[in-house]
Amino acid sequence: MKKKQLATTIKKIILGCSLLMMVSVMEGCANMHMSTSVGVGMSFGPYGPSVRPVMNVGVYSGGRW
Amino acid sequence: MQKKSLLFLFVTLMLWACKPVQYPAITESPTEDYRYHEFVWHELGTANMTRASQFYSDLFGWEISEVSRADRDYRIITNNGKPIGGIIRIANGQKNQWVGVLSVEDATAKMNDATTNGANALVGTTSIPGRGTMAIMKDGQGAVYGIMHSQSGDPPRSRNENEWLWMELWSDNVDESVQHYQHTFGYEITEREDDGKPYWVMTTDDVPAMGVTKNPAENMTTQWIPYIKVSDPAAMAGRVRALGGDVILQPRDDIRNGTVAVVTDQDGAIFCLQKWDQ
Repeated sequence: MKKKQLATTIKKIILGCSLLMMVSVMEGCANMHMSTSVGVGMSFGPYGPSVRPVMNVGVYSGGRW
Repeated sequence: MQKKSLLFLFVTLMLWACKPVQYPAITESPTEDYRYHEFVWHELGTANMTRASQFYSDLFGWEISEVSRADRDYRIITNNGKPIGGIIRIANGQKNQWVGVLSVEDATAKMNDATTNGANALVGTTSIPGRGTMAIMKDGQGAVYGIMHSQSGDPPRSRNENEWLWMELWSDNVDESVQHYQHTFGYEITEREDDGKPYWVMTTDDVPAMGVTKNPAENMTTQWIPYIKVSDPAAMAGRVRALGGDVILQPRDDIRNGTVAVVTDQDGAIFCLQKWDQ
């Protein structure tokens, strides 16, 4: 009798854990993500920041006016 | 009966699991107020989320946290609890870059206007649950910017320290740049001059929204540069260096009376630190 109860309890625990794992794995499965929908598209390419900038102070006078 | 209950539970959990990730709004609370054609949000693109988060939280005291277990590649930046920007993972091999986001009434219509005026859509109009609709554009000179219609309205203008103060376009071709933004967003342009150096201010509804200057970086092409308000640019530049960033231009008396420093984070994103007393 006790063995049967133990087996049932173990089954319930396994089922519960399986559900939680599936929820964890599938969370957000059907929706867009910022990182995949936007981030991967932000490719700055050869014209993006790729070198250490060298400032020409004869040109620069920036900042808020 | 028990099997039916379990099946119901299973289906319910699966539906719950597949609910869309809700991203934080760009405002603390809904404002229903819009500042169209002003920069209202900033995203840092980085291949190294952890390092970037550490750098900016150490430098400005920003709080940076994940928004969902389902998207570990996006983080929200808050300053004293107020959302001010995001950090988003980009592909490995690219250096960091800040991307300013302009408020627009209709993201799709404005994306089409921008492409008509010479821009490319790096990311077409995308609906972000909880946030609104946005697109990422690259203008004809190569400068990247975002456009967004926020579903919660836009945040009010900030005068707080360690927050966004200004956006400036460093352009290899000022005429073409100004034309793109003027034709797309309808800005009025005012030309100024400081010590013989020309500067263009773009205003919308009489509000100075951004500046344009000839590109002072000799080895970089056109790009938008964000300015962050600080009380002591020299001290902050020192902190940038101590945290592993780079100081491109120390404050100098002959440039805006020593109120501006140009720096980069450890992975190359340029930004400026400016003291601003108004």
